Amino acid sequence: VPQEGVVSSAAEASKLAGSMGFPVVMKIVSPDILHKTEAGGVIVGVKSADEASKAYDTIIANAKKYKADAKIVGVQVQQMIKGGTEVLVGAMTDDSFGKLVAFGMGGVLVEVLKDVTFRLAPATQQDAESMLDGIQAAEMLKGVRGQTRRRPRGPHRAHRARQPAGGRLPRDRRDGPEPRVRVPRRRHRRRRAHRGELHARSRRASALKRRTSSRR
Amino acid sequence: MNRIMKPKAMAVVGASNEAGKIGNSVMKNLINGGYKGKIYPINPKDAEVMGVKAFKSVKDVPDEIDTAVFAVPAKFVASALKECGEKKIAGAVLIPSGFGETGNIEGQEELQRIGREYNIRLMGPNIYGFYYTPANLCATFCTAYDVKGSTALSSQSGGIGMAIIGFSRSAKMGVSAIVGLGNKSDIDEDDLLLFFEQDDNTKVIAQHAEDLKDGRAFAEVAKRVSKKKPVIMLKAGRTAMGAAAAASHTGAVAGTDKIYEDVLKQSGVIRARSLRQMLELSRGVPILPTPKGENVVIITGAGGSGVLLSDACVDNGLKLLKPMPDDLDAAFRKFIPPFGAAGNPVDITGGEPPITYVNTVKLGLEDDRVHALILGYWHTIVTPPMVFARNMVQIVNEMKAKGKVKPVVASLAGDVEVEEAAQYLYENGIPAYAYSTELPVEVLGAKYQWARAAGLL
Repeated sequence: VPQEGVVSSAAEASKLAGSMGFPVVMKIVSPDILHKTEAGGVIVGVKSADEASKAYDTIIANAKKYKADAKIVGVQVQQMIKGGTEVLVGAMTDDSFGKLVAFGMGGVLVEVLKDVTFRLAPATQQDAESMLDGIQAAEMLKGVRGQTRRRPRGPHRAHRARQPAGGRLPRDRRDGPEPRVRVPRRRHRRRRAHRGELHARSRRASALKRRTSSRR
Repeated sequence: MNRIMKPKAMAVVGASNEAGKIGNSVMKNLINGGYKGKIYPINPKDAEVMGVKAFKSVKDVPDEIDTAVFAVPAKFVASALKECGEKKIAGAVLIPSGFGETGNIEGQEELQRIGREYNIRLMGPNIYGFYYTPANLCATFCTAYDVKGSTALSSQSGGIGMAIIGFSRSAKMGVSAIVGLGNKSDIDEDDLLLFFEQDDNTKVIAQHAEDLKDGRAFAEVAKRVSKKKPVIMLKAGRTAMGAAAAASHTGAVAGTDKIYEDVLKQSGVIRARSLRQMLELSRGVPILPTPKGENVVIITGAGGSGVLLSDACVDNGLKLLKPMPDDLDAAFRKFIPPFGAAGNPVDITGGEPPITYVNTVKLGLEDDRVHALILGYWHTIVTPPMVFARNMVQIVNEMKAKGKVKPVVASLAGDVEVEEAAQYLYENGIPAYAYSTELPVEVLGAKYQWARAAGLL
């Protein structure tokens, strides 16, 4: 599991990065910035304490440039892992179906290929297993072109990552805030997935509105 | 729901003697449809409607009433609904338009309030009504329908409802029920699933929906019901993205339709891709026996059909028995000419007499390694369409009597006579289609999809 932590100053950033070992990746943490790369809020391959300190300042500056009034929680420092396939394990709320668990290829691939699959939360082990085959990039998880064949070991770990995510969710869409969990990277050789960020946003659901529809 | 769908007594609020009025059509359909329960016309002026004693209000009716059908303008609905509440009527079938769909949200909310206060279930408003054939019940102002069968259909839209009626009549498809849901102020898809789940007259449920008000409730009910009875859904509005979904990152990225796709699948629901497909699946899925395994064999007179049928199998998630076991391959070869091709598809070639079709189909039905058959017929003078059809029905029934019950579907290539043959085959338990190599495989594929989700395979 890569180590990680959120810092709120350049000095803290270089100290934390030094303690976990280089390289590290640094990311903006803000509920108002969902697309971090676009906002210049992600710097990968930070190789020294000095670079970490500079990266902190750059990220904060970029974030303010991107959205002046964005609420900034801090900067996440995360040990950088090489290799593996990045996947996304998330949760979302749908007005009609309530809490859902999402799984797909992570990073920019989710935006470009929209290769995500959903199940009602809480997802059973069987549901979770079926999600691995439920995406178009299922073959990627099995390993292509000489990559380690990861699939046979993958499901258990990915499932364990999803299970707490799904199991913790309220079943009814009318309850509480919406947690959004993203697992930015899954290291297949270690069969590990780890949770990156947890955002909570509240949303309103109007039962009355729900019951009022029109037919075209 | 039982009182609404199988009422012992019905009131028609706004029953009329005047031809052309909705209240008149409803009365005609109830009386001419052969409904055996009591009918109470409600009309403030006339003493009788179509020869039946009328009442000024439901409250004047001395006996218990289960369901009230509304055929009055929107502005009179609320007050009449209140009276129904005081009369302890279980359900109101709200045909009138002019509520949520025209922006009259308040009007609709008022009905919902009255419904909750008096515990009356509301169907609609803005619907054509409903049909429940086991009770000869046509509570609608549209054309009557009386061909009894085991498919229950519902539609959110009236136009789609009429397409269901037209298709059913044209295809001679029996139905147990057709229900209009319209604005779904109260009764919606999951309520119907609950009713049809325990309705012995219904074997398959097909629903057209533009949205699901409570997708979670639907998914939970569907998951249970689909284990017993196939549930087919035509989800319209595939490209519309809900604003709420857009607010959530992953949802906005993937689109609401993907959620429907995945959750329906998770719940064991068969998703129809088009109106026509929903109708064809509704017709074909209930008459096919459940397969006992995954091995499908294609037996075809037309090599070209065999290729297209193979493609369709892949598209519909069907597995062809491959490689064909040597002994079975040799057994098929005995019946087909040397220039035919065994393997799978079994190509018996086009010029063969009926006996070649009969022998090969019999072999396919007899052998326990084969679980379903897809037939590709080629119209020739040697084996005319109806000769083929009669022979197939006979051999399938013969084998059925011996306990060899397997799903069989057919694709018929030929001149127009194949249409009659397709109808005959269909009526005798073999879903068959003229000029299509896709539809028969879609029907078989849906049966398999259901059987797998229900844990029967």
